[in-house]
Amino acid sequence: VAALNRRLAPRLTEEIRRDETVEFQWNGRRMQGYRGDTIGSALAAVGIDTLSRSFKYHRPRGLFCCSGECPNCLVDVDGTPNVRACVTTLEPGMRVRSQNAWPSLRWDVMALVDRFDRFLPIGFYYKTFIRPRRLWPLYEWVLRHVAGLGRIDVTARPELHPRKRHLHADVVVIGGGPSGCFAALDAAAEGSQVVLIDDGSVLGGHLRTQTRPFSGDARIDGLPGLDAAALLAALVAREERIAHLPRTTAVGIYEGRLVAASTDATLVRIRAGRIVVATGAAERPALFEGNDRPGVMLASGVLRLAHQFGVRAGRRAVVVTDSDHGLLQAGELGAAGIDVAAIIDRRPQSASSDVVQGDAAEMIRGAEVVGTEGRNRVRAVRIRLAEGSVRRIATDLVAIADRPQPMIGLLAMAGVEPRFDESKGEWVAGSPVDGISARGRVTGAGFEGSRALAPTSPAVGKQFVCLCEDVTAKELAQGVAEGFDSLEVLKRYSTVTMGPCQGKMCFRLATAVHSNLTGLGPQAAGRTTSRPPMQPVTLAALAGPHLSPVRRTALHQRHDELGAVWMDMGEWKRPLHYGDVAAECRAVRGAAGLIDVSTLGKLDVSGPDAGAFLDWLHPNRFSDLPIGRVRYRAMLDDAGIILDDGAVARLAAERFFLSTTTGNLEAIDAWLRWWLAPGGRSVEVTNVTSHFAAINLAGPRSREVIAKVSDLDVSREAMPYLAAIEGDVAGVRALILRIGFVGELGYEIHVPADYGTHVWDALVDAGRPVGVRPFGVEAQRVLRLEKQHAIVGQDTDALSNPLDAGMGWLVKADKPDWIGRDAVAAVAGMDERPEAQVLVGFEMLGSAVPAEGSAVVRGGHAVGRVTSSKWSPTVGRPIGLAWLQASEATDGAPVTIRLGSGREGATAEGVVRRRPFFDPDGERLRS
Amino acid sequence: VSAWTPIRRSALEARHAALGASWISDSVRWPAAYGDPDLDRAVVATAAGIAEIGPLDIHVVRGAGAADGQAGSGDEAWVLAPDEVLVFGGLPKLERALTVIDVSSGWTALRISGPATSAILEEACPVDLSEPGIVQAPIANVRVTVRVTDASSARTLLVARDEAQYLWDALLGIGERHGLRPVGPGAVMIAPAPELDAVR
Repeated sequence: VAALNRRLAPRLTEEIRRDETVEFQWNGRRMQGYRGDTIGSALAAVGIDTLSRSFKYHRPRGLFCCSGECPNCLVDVDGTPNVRACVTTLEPGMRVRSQNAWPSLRWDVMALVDRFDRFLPIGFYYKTFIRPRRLWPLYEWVLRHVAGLGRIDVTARPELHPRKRHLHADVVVIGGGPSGCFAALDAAAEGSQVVLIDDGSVLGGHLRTQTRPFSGDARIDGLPGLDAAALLAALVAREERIAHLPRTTAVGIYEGRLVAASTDATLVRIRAGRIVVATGAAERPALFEGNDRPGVMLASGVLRLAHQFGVRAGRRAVVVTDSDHGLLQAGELGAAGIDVAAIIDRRPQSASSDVVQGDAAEMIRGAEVVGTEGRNRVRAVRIRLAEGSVRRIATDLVAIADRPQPMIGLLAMAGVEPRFDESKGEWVAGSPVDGISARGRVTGAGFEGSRALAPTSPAVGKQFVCLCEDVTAKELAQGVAEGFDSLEVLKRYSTVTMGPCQGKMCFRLATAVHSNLTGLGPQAAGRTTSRPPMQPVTLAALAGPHLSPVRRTALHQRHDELGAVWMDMGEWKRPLHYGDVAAECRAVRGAAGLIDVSTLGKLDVSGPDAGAFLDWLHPNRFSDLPIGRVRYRAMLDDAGIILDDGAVARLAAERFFLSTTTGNLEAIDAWLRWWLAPGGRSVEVTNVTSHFAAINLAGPRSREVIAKVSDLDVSREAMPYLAAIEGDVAGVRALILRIGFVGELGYEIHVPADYGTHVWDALVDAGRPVGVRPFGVEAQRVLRLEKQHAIVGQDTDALSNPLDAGMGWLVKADKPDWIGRDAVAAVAGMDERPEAQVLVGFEMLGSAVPAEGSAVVRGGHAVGRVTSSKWSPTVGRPIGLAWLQASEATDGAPVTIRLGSGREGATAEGVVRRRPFFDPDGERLRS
Repeated sequence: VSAWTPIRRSALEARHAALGASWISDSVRWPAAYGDPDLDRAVVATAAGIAEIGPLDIHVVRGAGAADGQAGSGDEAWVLAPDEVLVFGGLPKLERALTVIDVSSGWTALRISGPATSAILEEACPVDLSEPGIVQAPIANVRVTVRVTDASSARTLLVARDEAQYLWDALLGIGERHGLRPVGPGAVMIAPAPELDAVR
């Protein structure tokens, strides 16, 4: 177990439990941290300086921001790539590995790229991999291997339990620093329900690393920052109207004041009446050669490590700054137990030295950092003094403490357009928009004076603007020189601001360097666009829990008991078969079968205008349908295309029962309501699909079966084909429709679903002596194919009109206007339609069953396509339906069907059959 | 043809049976209770319980003015829209010509009650279910009609019969970490014990 201890003396603010150790692995080595550590703090405590290799140049990188914003500490944890070590709580047994390095983090072969960077100019992949073109497959292979960060084991099936929470609040406050806490307390005092989001585990924001007194609000004025933070947290905790979500990061603000935030594997969506963004301001990188070397950190990151985890980031710090902020931070470092050797202040004149609380620190004014030295950790910093000479200062920690930058990203994506404040030299929050406002340092409040622009000597060495994508100031200069001088274009060309940090870290340097290079000035140069997610969020959290609805019929349990093989039909579960499709077919043709057809859509259409309304919706007529009768229906859209089919039964003068196909219910329900929306028709459409279970009893002996369970007169005379009779079946009120899809004497029995199982059981019992069998969708599809009954949506498509689909008999030309009439009339009126195809049956001469979708070919050209095909036990051959050019579609004409895919596939011969294969005259159906 | 005693079954019959439910009667397969009612009440008092309420007699009343005076004479009426009311209990007597359709088998009523109720529903439903009234909202991605009564943590969920088992399973899955348990209907129809409230 690695033991090098960089812990500071215990302190009140720390979040670790020094009495509880946590064992974990780092690149296979056993390590120890404390409970409450992050992976990053535990590694820092045992002296691990390099956590990753950078994206492009494979340079060693270490902890930098300690706030989960930069890409430097991305590691693989137990197979999950790109985990931010600095904000991820250490758990016992974690296996943590570095990424983007081979064979090891210390000796990374690809680090050679860093030496040969002249071969990797900006946009190198646009420039280098163009010629010769034939080598592109090789380039692509290489690029795919070197691109990207982290590896995903695509075969792994991790146990993820992502959750979503949907919250509703009067006010959402984003940010738990002093401004956010006060915003939440003020809103709660006004009676609002408040949700306060903060990415820390404890409220207080930057005050949690501040020992000097707070000033700015009477409630906590004068208290040392650490104590002020504790008091604020207590005030918030006491307020019942505030729900504080700790360790929760806002990732975006969306239309309708929807805030998305993430915590671990949970996505939190909060709808708010008002949003207050109090994201504050944060330190950002400064520009000098080697500004990415491990040991170069933000001062705030150094303080976080010290106060929260008791970890010393270095022994002898040099603070680099452009403002009084750096002098204050130097004092804080001293107070936190980090010795400060020197303060490099870029300003020639700075505020009085009493700002500096630390002692013994040398104050160097008007100096620039030129670069850092060191191999895998900074050893020294080189500075150019005001008079021009270069001086070297030995140090193991460079703490960057330039004035913090307002964090405007969330506001910008929410439409609160940031503005450039000339007096401060800073982009700050704009005016409130649509209930979204800003508070605190994000507005620029508390910043004095103007920020100096970044120095303009980009040509020297590697000065990283963008840590994520390894973009240097030199590369940006080259990009601008090549003509990519608009900020948004330069961004796309160089990928600056496009990495995992989403521009949070590099925005200021990128815009400053660009504006210096172009001479435009920040205002004219503009900003890059902020887009969600502000912080990385896992795809699992975005997807949420797996919630795919499943609809089960009332008979589901019975099918399960019968050993049904299930198929999914939309959300429905339907029995595909019960083990023996051929036996199921034989039972229906020879005796009787039972099929669960509860998934059919069912609509009650009632009212004085119901009949006329149905006439308007269909090419055939329903207003003349007698009570107690049922009629086939097919519905067309305005273009004459078949939408759906089913049946309509008339139950009373003003009441119709309409069935739809399983998948089309929602669409047809909506279609009917859409046509009713203008008003003027006295019709009510009610979806009664769930209320009814439906069982189709079909087969030559089905009359015997139903007679055993009903007192109704089921004789051919009393209940003929197309009768619709209401009466009791097995003691349950039922609607019996004398229709069938499989071409046999059949009864479609609709009963309230609560009684579905009871009626099914009664029919099974009554049918046992005659050999009734349950049959599934597969058998039904075979049987209907023997009758050449088309399935709308399978045998028809978005071009199928009823005339070509063989449903011309439906179209009542003498009927007044109906939906699709003009389109159908136009088709009927055309003299010649050489390209038109018609839907016809076919049978194969051999035993091969062509796949549905197979092409019908002639002379190497497609002349049609197969829409349905099955082996028919009744015919003893493969049969099917196909769309064929009318000239090919005469009865008995030969057809050639391609069996395989592609032009080389084998073919098989068949014959067109324009009449049903079974009972062509429908005598059995009418019996 | 013999005299039939039709058996009426809940959509969740298989789930209830697996939980050891005793039925209201042999021909009415809705749970009267599971196991220990005191245990059920403790679950509802300390975490949350989910129960199926039923069987129900429900009619939908449709037509202009259906919501006026809530249209019916049933035990309870849920106004879904000005022209659409669900009436629970007996067949409603109407003063005007409206369409009345029996949809008793179309719906399954679940009641979820206990202090963890809102934490569970906020994971399952994007809609605010805190305001009293009738709300139609997606829960676990299915359309549910929710009755919110004031001052109570309980919510009554009306879901299509064919989606009931899915919703039951989904809510129990989401609610597991909140201590949600299936309970007998008796446990969700009474208020949690006041002495337990005091302890909390």
